[in-house]
Amino acid sequence: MEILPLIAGICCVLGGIGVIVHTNPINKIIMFALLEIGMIGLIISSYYLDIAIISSLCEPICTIILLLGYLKYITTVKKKKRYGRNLPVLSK
Amino acid sequence: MGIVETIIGAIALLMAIRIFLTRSRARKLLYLCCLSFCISALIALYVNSPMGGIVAITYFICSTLSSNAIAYTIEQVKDIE
Repeated sequence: MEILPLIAGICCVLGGIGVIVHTNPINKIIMFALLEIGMIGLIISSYYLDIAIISSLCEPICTIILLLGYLKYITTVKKKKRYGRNLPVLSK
Repeated sequence: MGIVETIIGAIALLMAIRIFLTRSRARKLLYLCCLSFCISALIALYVNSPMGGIVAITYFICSTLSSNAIAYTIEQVKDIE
């Protein structure tokens, strides 16, 4: 029995359950990183090494794009709340 | 299956369970970094060729970048809130 496919499979299952269960967006992104770790381990355990290099190069880009989207979302929500107090003057 | 792979696998399993159970976000990130180091070592031990070393180096650098990006975002979100 090999160690790497076992650990990668456990990481994949735990990451998949965690993405569903957790509610905070950053926790979801951390769990998604766990899922990606498991995916790369499973790719390497079947000896597709070039694909593993490409996917491990693309993994931080994907995470950074998700995090930039989350930051933009937080900023937009805060701005709406700040203007929300001033705008009802128009509706009166 | 050598003794080294068994020890690193046990550490990786412990870290995977602790990521799932811990509530603090910063600690989750710390355990994620530790888990990716363990997986990098397992890759270098699993593939017995120089290509395995290249894959392990690439994966090590890129997973550290990803963890640092998440840590930076946690700090930014604290500043915004």
